[in-house]
Amino acid sequence: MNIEQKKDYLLLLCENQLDTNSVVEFKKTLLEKLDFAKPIHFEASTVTKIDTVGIQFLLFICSQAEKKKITWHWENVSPTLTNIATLLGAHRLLKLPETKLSSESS
Amino acid sequence: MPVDYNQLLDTYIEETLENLADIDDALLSMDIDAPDPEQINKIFRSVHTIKGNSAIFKFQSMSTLMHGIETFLDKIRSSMLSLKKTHVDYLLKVSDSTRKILDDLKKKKPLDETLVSQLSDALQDILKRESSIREVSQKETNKSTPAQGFKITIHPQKDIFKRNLDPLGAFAMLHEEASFKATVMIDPLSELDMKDYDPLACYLSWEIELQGEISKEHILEILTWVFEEHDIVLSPIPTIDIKTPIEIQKKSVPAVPSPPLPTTASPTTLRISTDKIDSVMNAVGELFIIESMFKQTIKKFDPKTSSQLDETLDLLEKNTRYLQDSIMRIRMVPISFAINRFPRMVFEIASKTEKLVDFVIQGEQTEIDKTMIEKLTDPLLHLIRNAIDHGIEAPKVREKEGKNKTGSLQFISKQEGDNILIEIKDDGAGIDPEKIRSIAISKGLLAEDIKLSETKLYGFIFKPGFSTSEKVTEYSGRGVGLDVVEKNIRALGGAIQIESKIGVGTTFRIKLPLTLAIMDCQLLRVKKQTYIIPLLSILEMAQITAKNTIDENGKKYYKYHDQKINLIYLSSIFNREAPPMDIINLFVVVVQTTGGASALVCDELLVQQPIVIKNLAWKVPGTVGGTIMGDGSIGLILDVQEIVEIGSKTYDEQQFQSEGIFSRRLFQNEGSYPIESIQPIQPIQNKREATETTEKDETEATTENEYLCFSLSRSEYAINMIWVQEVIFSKNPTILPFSPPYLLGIINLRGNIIPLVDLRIFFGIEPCPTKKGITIIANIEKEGIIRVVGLVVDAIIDTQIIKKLDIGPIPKSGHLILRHYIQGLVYINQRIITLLQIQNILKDPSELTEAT
Repeated sequence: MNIEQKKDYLLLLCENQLDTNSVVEFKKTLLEKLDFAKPIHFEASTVTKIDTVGIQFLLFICSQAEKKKITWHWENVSPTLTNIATLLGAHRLLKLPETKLSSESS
Repeated sequence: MPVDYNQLLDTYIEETLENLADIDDALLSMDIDAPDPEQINKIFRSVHTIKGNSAIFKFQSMSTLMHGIETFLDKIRSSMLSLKKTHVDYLLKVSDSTRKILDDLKKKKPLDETLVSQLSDALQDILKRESSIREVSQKETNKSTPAQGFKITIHPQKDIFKRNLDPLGAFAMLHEEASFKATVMIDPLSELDMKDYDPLACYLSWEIELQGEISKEHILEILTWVFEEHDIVLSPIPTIDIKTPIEIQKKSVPAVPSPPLPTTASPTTLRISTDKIDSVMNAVGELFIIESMFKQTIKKFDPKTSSQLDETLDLLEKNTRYLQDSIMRIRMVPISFAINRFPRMVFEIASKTEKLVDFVIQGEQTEIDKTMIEKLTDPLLHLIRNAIDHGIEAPKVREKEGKNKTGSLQFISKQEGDNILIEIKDDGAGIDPEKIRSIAISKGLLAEDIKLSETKLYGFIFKPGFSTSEKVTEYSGRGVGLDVVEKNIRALGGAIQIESKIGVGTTFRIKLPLTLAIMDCQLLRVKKQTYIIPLLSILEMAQITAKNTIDENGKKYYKYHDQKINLIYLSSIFNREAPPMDIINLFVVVVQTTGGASALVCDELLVQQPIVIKNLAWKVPGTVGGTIMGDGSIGLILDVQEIVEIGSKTYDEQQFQSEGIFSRRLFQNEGSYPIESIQPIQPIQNKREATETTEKDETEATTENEYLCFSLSRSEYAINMIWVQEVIFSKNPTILPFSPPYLLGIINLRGNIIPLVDLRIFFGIEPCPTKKGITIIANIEKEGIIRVVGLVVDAIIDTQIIKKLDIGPIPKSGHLILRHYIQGLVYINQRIITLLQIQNILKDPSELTEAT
């Protein structure tokens, strides 16, 4: 996971893995850089592995942004992410489309 | 730190008993035709907790049984089963059997697997029977459809991610089994601050709708791979019954979240061992004594300088009181702990005796000391049993007498000041005082010409073996019990009284102190000794005047309201003196006993103060214990019931009794047998025969111990140093009434009350002419408790290391019982030392005779 400071927004790049290991590894640096001063854009087109810890992390960032009245939206989302978010019932809160569930998981 | 399994097991037993009580309570108040959903939920919660706790202790069979019962209850609350009386009976049986199992566990016995297995089988039978009935019913009507699915709520444990558990797999499996729709809830997550966020903590919870034909068991099987079962709540999506939709809706019980296990619950309460609280309470007790000592010391000061000290002392008193109250409150539990089984018992006894009883409990939240609760349950249970069995009449009899055919039985408890008042009140047949009178006469307890008040006649009911019942039943009527009830209540520092009216009913009234640890008492003086009476037992105190006494045929009585009551002279009881001729200006303390009021005569009334009760190593008749006074002396706390019983006898009878109670048969029946008469026939070393010994014998024989050698008269004795605590110069003891001659009295040793045994007198050696001596403070075990006893000897000689090998046998010529006090004889440097078996000193000679 990476953060790119853009002029008007913050781009949050989700790499192919958004699971427990990556969340634990990047939590500190990510949260330090996340000052919630600008809108957040998520780029998650390459995510192929995600688990509940990863979804919870996204939910946390989104809820913090909302608490601080910062807007956020998705630029690109991988099917894996939408599937898992739907299976966990997190799609509405993450503002992701509800998908017809397949048996695919992490 | 290692886990104390036994302590945890005690907590498990205690919690399970509490849950069983809740189950009983809910079952007994359940309307079988229209069960209250909340009551079923209450039972479910209790069963669930027992299940979880049993699993923690690896009582797998118990946990499985409770799981089965949960399933069964779930069927009831989801209207898949309708509640029947057989179901209630089964659950009551489970409750009883579980209590038996817990009782076994308490006694360190293993869990009774057979009993658990029988209960599981019985449950399976019920479920099979119900299932076949349902199948038939469904085939017949063909109008109802199976459950359409479940609504599931999951509140996971916070650490599931740390345990590498992910709900995804389980959700995916459920999705394959049925139509699956989850909604995540993030309430705790959105409230978190950045710095508090732990990625490995689970802040999520879920609500899931599962549509389709899937069983609850299967859902749980899948979900429990990830979640704890108690974190999952399943409620069926109601089945649509074409015929009676409204009825089903009404019967459906909304599922409630199960309480989390204690291990994960946030600690709003804390279980503390009563031992720990007791030790703090003891420390507070000591504070009272110190405070009292201060007061005594201040009296010796110049009043000008002591006024400021007085103020400080008042502050200390106030704070000590506050501390005592606060700690006492910790020990207090609602009386419902003692009585929660009663409704169940009333139900059973009433059913078996074919009586109709309306049992009402009032004041179940009245709080009382936990240690008292444990001792109170049985006496109360007995009174309840008696009330149903003997008090309340059969319905037909009641109808004939114009009463409601349902009898009323009330249990009322309340706090009044520092006392707890308990009433057990029935509207039954009442007790006929004339019947008691004639039984008392026939048993030789009462002379025919003596007339007694009703209160005094009722007092006979508490005599051992006294029963007015003409028939013996399973529950009562053998005359065994009410004497024990009275004795137990008295042991708790309380009193019991009866009020009864023929045809109207009977009330047993019990008055108890809030706690046994510290009691408010009145101090009084008889000769030079201070005695103490708990305020709870006192009705009135006064100085004796000509106006408040009556002289009848040379015998004096005290006028208490309109009654003429006996005067009991404490100096006659404790100092073996004849009643004084002139009693004017002496003092009376009117006390309450089962036989009514009695007036105890003393020389002076002293102060009222809180008293810390300390046990005496010997049971002294007429007392319940002792306490250390402010000046360091010892006061004896009176057992007013026993004092009145002793005092009611004539002066001559009292003398006879005081001789009889404590005389040791060792000396009385067989005469004095001086220990000095036991002498070795020849030096021990020469006497020992050479024998082949095993290696073990050799090790034992070479074991050596240090002995403390002392003299009694002209002979030397020794006791093993392991029992010796210290050696002090002998102090003047407080004399104990009715004590055997060798028990010199009791002394205060740094706040502990210690009995002094004169070993000369004990062993039948002539008393020491100088009366001076040395006291060996020794630890002696009696009834499993180590007691500290002072052994008065003439002088300490030295200590000696003695090998077991060197201990010679006791000469066979010795006195049979006396030999039990002797370990053996040793010959060292021309000295013959008798080694004493000091542990037998406190034993009753009869125990030693039996052992022989």
